[in-house]
Amino acid sequence: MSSKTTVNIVVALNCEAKPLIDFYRLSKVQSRPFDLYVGSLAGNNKDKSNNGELECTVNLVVSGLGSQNMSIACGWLAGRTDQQQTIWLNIGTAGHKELATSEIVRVHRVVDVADGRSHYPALTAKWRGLSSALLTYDSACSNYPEDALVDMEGSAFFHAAGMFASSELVQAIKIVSDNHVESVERLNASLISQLITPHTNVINQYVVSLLALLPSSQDLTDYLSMVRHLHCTVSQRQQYKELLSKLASLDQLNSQTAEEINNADSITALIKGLRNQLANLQPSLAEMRN
Amino acid sequence: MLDTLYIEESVSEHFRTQEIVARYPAAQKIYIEKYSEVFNPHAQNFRLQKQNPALILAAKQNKKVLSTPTQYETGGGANYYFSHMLNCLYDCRYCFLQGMYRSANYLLFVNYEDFVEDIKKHAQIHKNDDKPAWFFSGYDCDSLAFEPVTKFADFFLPEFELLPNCVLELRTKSTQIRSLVDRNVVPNVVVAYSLSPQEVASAIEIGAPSTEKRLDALVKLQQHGWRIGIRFDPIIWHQDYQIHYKTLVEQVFSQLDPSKIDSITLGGFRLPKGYYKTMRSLYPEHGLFSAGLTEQQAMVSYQPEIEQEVFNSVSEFIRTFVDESKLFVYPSHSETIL
Ligand code: SF4
Repeated sequence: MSSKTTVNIVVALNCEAKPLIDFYRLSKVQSRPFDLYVGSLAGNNKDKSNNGELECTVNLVVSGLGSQNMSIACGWLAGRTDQQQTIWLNIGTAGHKELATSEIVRVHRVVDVADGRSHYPALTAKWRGLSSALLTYDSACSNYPEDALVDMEGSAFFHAAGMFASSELVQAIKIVSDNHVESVERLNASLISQLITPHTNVINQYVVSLLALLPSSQDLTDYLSMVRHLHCTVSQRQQYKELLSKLASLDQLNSQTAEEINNADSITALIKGLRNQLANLQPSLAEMRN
Repeated sequence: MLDTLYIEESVSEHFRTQEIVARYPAAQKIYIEKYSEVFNPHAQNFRLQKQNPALILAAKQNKKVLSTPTQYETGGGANYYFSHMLNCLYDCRYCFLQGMYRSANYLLFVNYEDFVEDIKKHAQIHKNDDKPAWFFSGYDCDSLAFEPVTKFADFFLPEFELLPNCVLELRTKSTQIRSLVDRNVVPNVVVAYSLSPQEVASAIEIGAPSTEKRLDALVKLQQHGWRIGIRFDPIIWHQDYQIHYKTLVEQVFSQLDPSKIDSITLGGFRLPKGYYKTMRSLYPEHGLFSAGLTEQQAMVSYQPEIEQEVFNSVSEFIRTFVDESKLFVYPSHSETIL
């Protein structure tokens, strides 16, 4: 896993955010258009952070209730985040006919009740707990369906966040807040926070298993910035990046390459030179090992 | 171990589904309407999913038997392939499935009986042909790797036994050969093994049995009387490739009786351009996708001179052991002359 990873957590309500803000020791950095809290995962995984494995940024945004707010909040947060290695997590409360309040559940299917649209998140990261379908309604629902959670934002979250990350990295975890015995009317902010607080460790473990899916990414930043002295079109920059990536994969980015780049007079000549360098390489099996 | 089973509602009562589901009591079962809802969505990442694939049990609709892409033939008559399963237990870095599918989930079509119906219809079309109609399995998966679960060979071998004008070719790297060695040989079935030097296998055929184990399986099958084929495909160009392939060829022919090998094929590393781009973006750090390649007619393959050199060397090693008529070479470029 690269150190440039981000976990974007999106919740609907401040009371859902509070236990996570406390757990990750997040700081509020913005309140308009949405409350945004930022911190680092390493702060909460100190035992493992020494080897750098778990260092990543945590953003938490409070979207407000309903699908529209959720979609806008996801889009807004995506605009602030480098999309390369980003995990998206929707945490919140939901109703369920049978499940006991305070159960924690991973969502394996989400249905937008308004249009019938359905989505199955890829369940690649390990999860040992319960799992359920989630139906997203336009308004609070106390007429619980059989065998599914109900909420007001889940579908919009998957739809919006799914534009910015692949399905394995876009997940939702719900804590059951009401059921056919304990009604939705009894809920208040403090009760919702109390329902979520005991689960912060489990949520964090799930975040860690999502992060474990991410492969190391090639860091070409230094080499990309070396051509600042050259005039490049977008396409030339792209070609240059592609060549750097291929040379890096063959373990050929070294001081000699850096010198060639620094001494280049034009991007055209540099691209040609790097292409020639690449053309003469025969890969070794060591460079083909994962 | 599989964590998740997706089950199409239409096959949930199928006996084969139930047998498979029973093997995974701890797995989460999710019922779906159509496999495409899980398998086809775009925003999926094959590399990530490969770390923990789910199994999808579904019914194959529409055509079950298709004509082979060119360059997939061993000089027989009509050539077809069919895929009872999409995706593979192994994770060969060169595998085109990574470029073809978004999902790395295993998709198993449990309606084998419908496949057989289609195969029989095609057999009927070719009943008067001079040469047998050839049916390949293992184009979209490894034919035998998942045998203990799928019982694919167990089911299809007796069916092909009844179709003497057809040949079934099982392509595999697997050592799951119990369903073959525990029964009588079916004369119109060829078990074709993809072999690579051990150095290549351990570098890029992740999860697949070692070359030695594949050879052991081949020896057992040959001794048992099964028709076998050898596929040096794709040949991977790398430093020391000549030494590695020479050693492999010697290893193969010191253990197998060359006169009882059905066919040997050589294939280059070649991919449709779109697949190549996807695979390179999935594995940008992988040297396999970085050197020696060229693009021609929307296909990416080794440069013609590299491919020619590789094919010349490896076929020369092979010709010292085997009759020319058994060797089939499939260059990616028309200008690769052997
Ligand atoms: S064994 Fe064949 S199907 Fe399986 S990963 Fe390797 S190349 Fe692909």
